[in-house]
Amino acid sequence: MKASMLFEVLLALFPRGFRDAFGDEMRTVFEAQRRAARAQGLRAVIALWARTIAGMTGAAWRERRPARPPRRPLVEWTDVRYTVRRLAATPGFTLAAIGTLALCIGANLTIFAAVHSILLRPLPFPGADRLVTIYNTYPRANVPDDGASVANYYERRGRVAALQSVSLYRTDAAIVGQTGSTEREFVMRVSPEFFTTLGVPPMLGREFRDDEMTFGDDRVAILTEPYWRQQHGADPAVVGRAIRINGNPVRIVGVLPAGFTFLSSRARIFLPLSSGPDDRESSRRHSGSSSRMIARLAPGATAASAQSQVDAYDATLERSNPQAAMIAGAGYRSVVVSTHARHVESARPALLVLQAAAAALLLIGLVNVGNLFLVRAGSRARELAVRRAIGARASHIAGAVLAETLLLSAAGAAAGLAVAAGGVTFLGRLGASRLPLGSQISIDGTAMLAAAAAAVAIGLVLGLGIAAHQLRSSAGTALRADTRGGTAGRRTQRARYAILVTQIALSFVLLSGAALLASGLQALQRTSPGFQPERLLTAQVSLPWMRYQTDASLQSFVDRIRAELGSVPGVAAFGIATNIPLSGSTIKSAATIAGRPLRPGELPRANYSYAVAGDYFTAMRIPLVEGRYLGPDEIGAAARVCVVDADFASRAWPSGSALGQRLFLGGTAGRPEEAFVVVGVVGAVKQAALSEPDGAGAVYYPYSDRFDRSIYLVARTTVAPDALVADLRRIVRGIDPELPINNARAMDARIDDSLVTQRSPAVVGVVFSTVALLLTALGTYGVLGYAVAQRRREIGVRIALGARPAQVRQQFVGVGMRLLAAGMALGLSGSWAAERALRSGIQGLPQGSLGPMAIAASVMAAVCLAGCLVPARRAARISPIEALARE
Amino acid sequence: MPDPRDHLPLKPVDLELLLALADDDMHGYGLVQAIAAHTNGLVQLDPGNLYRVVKRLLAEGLVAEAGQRSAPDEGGERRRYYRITPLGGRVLTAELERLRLLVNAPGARALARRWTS
Repeated sequence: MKASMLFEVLLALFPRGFRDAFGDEMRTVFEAQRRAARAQGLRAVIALWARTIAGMTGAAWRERRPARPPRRPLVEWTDVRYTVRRLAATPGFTLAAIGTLALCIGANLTIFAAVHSILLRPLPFPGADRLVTIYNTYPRANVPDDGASVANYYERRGRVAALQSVSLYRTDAAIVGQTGSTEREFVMRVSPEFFTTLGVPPMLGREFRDDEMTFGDDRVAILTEPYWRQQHGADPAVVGRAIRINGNPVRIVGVLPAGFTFLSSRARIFLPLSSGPDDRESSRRHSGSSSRMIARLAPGATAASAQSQVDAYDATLERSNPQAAMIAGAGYRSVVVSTHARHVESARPALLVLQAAAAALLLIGLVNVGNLFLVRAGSRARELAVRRAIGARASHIAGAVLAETLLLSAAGAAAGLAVAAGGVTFLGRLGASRLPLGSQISIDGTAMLAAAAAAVAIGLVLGLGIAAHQLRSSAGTALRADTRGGTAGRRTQRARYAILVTQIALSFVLLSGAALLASGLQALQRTSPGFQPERLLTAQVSLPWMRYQTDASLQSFVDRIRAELGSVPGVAAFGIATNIPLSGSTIKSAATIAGRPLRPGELPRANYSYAVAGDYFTAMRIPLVEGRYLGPDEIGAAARVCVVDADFASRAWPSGSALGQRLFLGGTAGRPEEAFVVVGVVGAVKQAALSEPDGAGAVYYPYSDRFDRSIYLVARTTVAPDALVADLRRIVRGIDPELPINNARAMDARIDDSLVTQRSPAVVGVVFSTVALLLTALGTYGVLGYAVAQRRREIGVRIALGARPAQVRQQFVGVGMRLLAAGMALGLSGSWAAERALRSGIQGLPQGSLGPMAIAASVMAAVCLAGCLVPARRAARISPIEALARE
Repeated sequence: MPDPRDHLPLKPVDLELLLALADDDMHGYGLVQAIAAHTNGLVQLDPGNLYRVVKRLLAEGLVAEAGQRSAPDEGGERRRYYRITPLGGRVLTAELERLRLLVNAPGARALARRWTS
């Protein structure tokens, strides 16, 4: 009967007597247990081992315990107890050190939580690193990302070896529910292999099928787990049941597992991304679309190999494209890139900048704590020297210091976690949840682990640095140097000055960076969006195809809402547009200028296009440059008129007026009667963001010439816009009780939201640099204050010999200013590097950096001056008699 | 004669073990199985803890060795059996009586009614 090796090891833990008495029997029992477990399967075996290992070690320990005398406390333990006592005896020092560390670690953890949740943590799908996004780009036509078309999808799937599966998705909204109790839901339209690509099959039911991807055959839906739980009471028999979506009965075919979220999507229902046969034709390959492609790399394939295969495949396809030359001229390419990286691209620079700033803050904090230690070490130098003289080993002294720094950093990290919890809330207030994956920012296990690692690392770095310094300076001189009561050891003083200079330099880098970010934000906030955003209510309505099939029905909806809203008190002007500035949609299209075919090599430039009705321009207060606005009643084919913005006009007709000129919708000229006559030129607006450079150009067509089921309502109000939301909702429901209005909010709020990637770094940067300044002020005060205390006697002698207090004061202020100058000189090169990094990552920063730099320099100087003024004045007030008598 | 009450209250595992031996003499693995069965699998003893208890009960004289016998199963392997001593029996009885009084106390019954309804 042989038990396993591991069991023998466990047995060996028991005292010999116990083993002699029961060892054989224990083996027998374990063998029997193992046989029984094996019969039950692997889980039982694992459970048995877990139980046995835990039980046997515990039993062995308890069995041995009484045989031994009570354990003596560890040497380290006395160190720790001594340290705790000493820290408790100097609460000022302890609190300052823990507080500083807590602030700095907390700041780092906060940013780390964001960096980890957004940039580092893999997407929540199996093999998430194999997911790639493929998008069409036409850089020379000013369209950097045009998603992927339905044709792209049907052409590529199964034909690119490096892609195991290809799928397409599009975000959308739908009206769900019965008449009278409809709700607007975010939905996502997806191709059949979408969930296979992600590697997350439905928990109930099935995925979509190919035969459900055509208009008319697409009345199926897959629910997310929260929606299923909320709306269907988590009923397992829900598959096969019908719900109403956009007025149609739709059959539920599947339910997704709990916790499924796709990137930052808020969709709770998935529908087929259906299309018609003509959408799939190769001629529609480049018809810009709002759909996006996600694919899973085949085993062994890389993004690079997939890229070269897609390039090769596209090249063969384009050969038969009559417009191939134009497409190639636009710089067309389908880019294959990691889905995660692409999704968080916009947030990456800001996050990295913030993490760097937090790291700088931590350095400043560490320097400050190191400084505190040095100051205190000065007063303990004799104690240490005595300890060494009577035979304490270096390792023992280092151990004591390490115990102290580790204890402090552990406490700091624990408090830092609390700070970080507040910090994450603060980030949320700043709008971090609107960053990609931003709603998932949390302090999780990894962050805790990072805190623990930081605590250990900080404790070690601080401890070793301080121990090294103390051991060197206590090598015999301390006893003498201090008893003489003269100036502090040169080395110690120099170390303190070097620390202060580092601190000033780092703070200056932080401060100038924050000043640059803040002035950038300020400049953006002052940027005119091209219209007046105050008191402007905006909302979106999607008219379902079922009930608005004809242009006439769309027109009549628009007419009715105009008429009814016009009579609401508080509405000064009201308009409708198919897109509004800062809506988040930046889809562009082409316009062709009549009589001006593209010259060889010239590319069609994409421009924003809007279809408007009502008093859109008046409501938005977009200024008129020349001509006239589109009238509220320009309806029907007779009125083929349009308005262009100044950017478009100056590019299309650089010499002469745009008025009376003609253009065609789309990339090619049509029949003469299809041309639109330009009747007015208006000011340019910012469509994508306030930081958007000018020049994309825009064309405004009458809504009656370009019907669209998705429309925005804009109302210029004479009262607070939010006060009118209820009226708007009531009127829309009055016209169509099944129609919800979406995203009703004031334009200022939209602008505020659009600034999130600029605002968070600026605000956080200012917070960080304020803390850094405070620490630097404390550092200056500490270093100079200590210098004054150490040189009391010298100062006393000098005053006794006739030095004027002003001279003494100047001497110390002079020291402070010299340190400041050295720190700033060092900091300047740092801030130059920081500025370059900032500019490469964050858009919309102002050109010159002298202003922010000057502000940073003067604030820095003021803070340092304040920090050294107090000790300098104290020095000047030293009474010679007292100073000399004290020694 | 030693007073069984000196041994009270029994530890839960000791009680389980004595209860098992009250039925029949058993070897080590038999005890593990009996205790697991009696506690619905809640108490699964590993050999180490089992024999710590056995050692203690032997030392206190509540349990004694009952010689080696070949087990009916497992190919006739010889195993050491344990039996409950007369003192062990009295201690067990006293403990069960103590528990009975405890469970039947009016307060305990009221409590049980309150929390089970």
